[in-house]
Amino acid sequence: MKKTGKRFIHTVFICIIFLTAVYNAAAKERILSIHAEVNAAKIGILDTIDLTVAVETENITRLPNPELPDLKFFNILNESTKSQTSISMVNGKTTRTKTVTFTYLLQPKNKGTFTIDPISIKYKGEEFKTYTITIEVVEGHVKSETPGYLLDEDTQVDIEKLKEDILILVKPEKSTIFEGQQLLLTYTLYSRLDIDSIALKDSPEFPGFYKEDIFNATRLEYRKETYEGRLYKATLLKKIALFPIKPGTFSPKPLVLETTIILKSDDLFSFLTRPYTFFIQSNELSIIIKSLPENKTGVQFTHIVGDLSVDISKRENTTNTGESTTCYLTLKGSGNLNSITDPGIQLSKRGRVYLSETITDKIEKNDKIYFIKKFEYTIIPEESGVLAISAENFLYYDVNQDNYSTASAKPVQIKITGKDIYQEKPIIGTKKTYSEGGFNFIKRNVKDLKNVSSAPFESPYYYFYHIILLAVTGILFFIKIKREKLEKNENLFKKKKARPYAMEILKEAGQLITEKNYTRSIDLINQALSTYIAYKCCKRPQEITVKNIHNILGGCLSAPDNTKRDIAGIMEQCTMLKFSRENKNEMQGIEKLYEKTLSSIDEVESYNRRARPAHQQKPNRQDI
Amino acid sequence: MKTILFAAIVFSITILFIAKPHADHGAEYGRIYNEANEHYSSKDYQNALLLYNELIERGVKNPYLFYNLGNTYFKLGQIGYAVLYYEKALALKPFDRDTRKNLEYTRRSLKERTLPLYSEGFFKLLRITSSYIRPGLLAIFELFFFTCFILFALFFIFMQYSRNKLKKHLVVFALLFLIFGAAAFSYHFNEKNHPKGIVVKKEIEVLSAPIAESEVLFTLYEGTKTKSLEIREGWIRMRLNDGREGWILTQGIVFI
Repeated sequence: MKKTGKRFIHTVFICIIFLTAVYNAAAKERILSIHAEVNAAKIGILDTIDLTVAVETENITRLPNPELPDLKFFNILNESTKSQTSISMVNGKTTRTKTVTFTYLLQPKNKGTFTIDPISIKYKGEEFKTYTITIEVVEGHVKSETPGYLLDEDTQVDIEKLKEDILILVKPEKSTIFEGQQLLLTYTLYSRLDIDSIALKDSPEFPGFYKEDIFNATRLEYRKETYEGRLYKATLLKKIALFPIKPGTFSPKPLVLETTIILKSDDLFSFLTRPYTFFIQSNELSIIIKSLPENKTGVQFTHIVGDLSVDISKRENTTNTGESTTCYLTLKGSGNLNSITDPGIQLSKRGRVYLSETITDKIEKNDKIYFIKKFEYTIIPEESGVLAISAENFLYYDVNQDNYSTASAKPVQIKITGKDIYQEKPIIGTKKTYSEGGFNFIKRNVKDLKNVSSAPFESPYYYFYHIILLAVTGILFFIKIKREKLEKNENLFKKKKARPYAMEILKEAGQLITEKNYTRSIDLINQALSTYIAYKCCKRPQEITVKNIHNILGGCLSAPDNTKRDIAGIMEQCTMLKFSRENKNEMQGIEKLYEKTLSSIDEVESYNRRARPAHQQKPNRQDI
Repeated sequence: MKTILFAAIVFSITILFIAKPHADHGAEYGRIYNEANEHYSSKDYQNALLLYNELIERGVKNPYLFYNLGNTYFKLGQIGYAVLYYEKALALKPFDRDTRKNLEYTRRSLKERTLPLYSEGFFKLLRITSSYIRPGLLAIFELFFFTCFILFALFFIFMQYSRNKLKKHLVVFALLFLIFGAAAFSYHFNEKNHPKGIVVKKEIEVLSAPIAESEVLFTLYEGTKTKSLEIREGWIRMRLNDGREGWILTQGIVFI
């Protein structure tokens, strides 16, 4: 079952390929055919020969042009194209056959036997060729002259005869002009035939000229005109204004038109007409361009040749300072105004000027083209008063007077009101009068000319200054912190050792009391108490006096109030006893004072111990 | 501590060594300058120009030299270069009244003067004031406030009383120092990145794109001041103070 299926698919596939190949072969056979022939195998060197290439196609709308071989022994005088389409129905199938006939009018260059190689045409990648054609060229005429250019359908068209009835005439205004002078060229089509259509094949070219298109025909508008005694239908095709850039002789490339005319048979009973396409070109032209005489005026030449007029106009008569107003500078002349881009205007007072727009126009007057260029200037006056607007003089070459002339405009005036507005007014001082004298002095002689830096960033001293100051501050700050830390540690140490120190001094005082050296013992008791309080309060012992004892005790010592009072009392008593030495009653009190001091210190210590958290408490050690 | 001190000393010596000019040509420059001045005084502007330019080529940047060179260019009718050197002189010495006066006089003879977008009232005052403010001036303020900040910081560290008052002053000076420092640096680098230039050609066309065939927007005349926005293969995108922008060839302008 599987094998049968595969075979069936193979068979169908082969059938499809076969049918496609057959269809393509058939299609190819009929797609295009090309055939070439000449109207005579033997011609005279003074004769011309028609080479006709006929291309027949089916159902093809667009055909490429045939490629001619190198016809080195012939000149191609003319070429024309003819197209014919026929529709036929065979067995219900409609076939559209198009035959395009290309006819080349050849003129032999030499005598002899020459061959025209196969003419080919390429279509969809395939090349179709004709056979080689052999032509014998002999001396003189061989072909018989045909009277008239149109006989019947089989008769050939005589192009030379035809061109007498249709021609393009270019009329220059003058044959000799100056460099830069306007030359107006008019291209006119004269025809006595029925023109079916025309198409531009080649535009005229004007190297070495500045070209300005004046008119280009978009449709054929006929008027009747007589040329060389014959009546023609004339159509204006093109009008160009040219401005030669350099001197010399000028021959422009002609204008070529592809023209299709309707040919009619001379036979009155024949109503058949046929189109005929061929090329016609404008007549040859030669213009002499003279150079301009030397400009000896000393004024800058505008390169305008012809005539020129200049005019200044204004929009408003009055305006304010700082407000914009408009004025126009208009140039009108037959010369090339494109050489002037921005002539500029002059103001009699301070103000700013901007060229805001340039408008160009042209008018035709007395068979001459006049160009108009209008410059629109926006003016912002900065100074009040009457503002006169003027323009420079324009030097141009006047063709009529054959000399250099100057065109100038009459100045216009605008009244400016309002406050003066100036820029760059100095901020310091009053408004100064500026004079040329400002430039007569210079910055006087110097001993050393030193470089001055515009910004201190470029100098290393700038960065050095910052770094040094920051470094010094940083170092001092560091020292300060270190010192504070040391002081803090010292104070902690002193706080811890306040009682032992005081006890040591009191021990000595106790010995002196037993030795009855009361004076020294009072000093020592006082010293012991001061040292204790000073160490406890992070102060120096010298700072503890009777005067400030209350403040110090109240401020920094943590002890019960009665103990503080006792300490203050001891200090006061010590001071009093100092001044009552050797007094027996007082002496007895010293021992009591000694005991009181001991007990006060112990009270403070025990109070602090109580106040301290449990984990910080240490067992009490009896130093004495 | 010792290490810090040693490092500071080594750094200071290095900086001083770098900062010291390798050769002092001041006297020689002075001689050429005086010679050029003599030429100028005797109205021999061409020779004066040659000598002044010799100093410029040697890299001398001095406001007096720029001022005299501006005068010389003005006398020779080269307005664009005159404006350029007056602007250069003002960049170094913004308060020089002679330079300002001559620059204003020269600007009067320009074919076209551009007006800033905002040219009246407060904006005018701001513009004129800013013409006096240069990065150097801002840097001097910055140095002053920095010094004050450091002094107050030292007082704050070592003085035990009035610390709250000191703290306020310290904060004010620190802020002023930072503001002026940032302004000076940003101004300086903005001028470096977007240098201002003067048109030195009689006329130069401003195009819409950095291509020779592009549309001509407007024309600039000699002496006009421009600000460069972008530089690309021989072209500069510049902006005028009235806001107009466009591309010009680099040959047309010289940077201040």
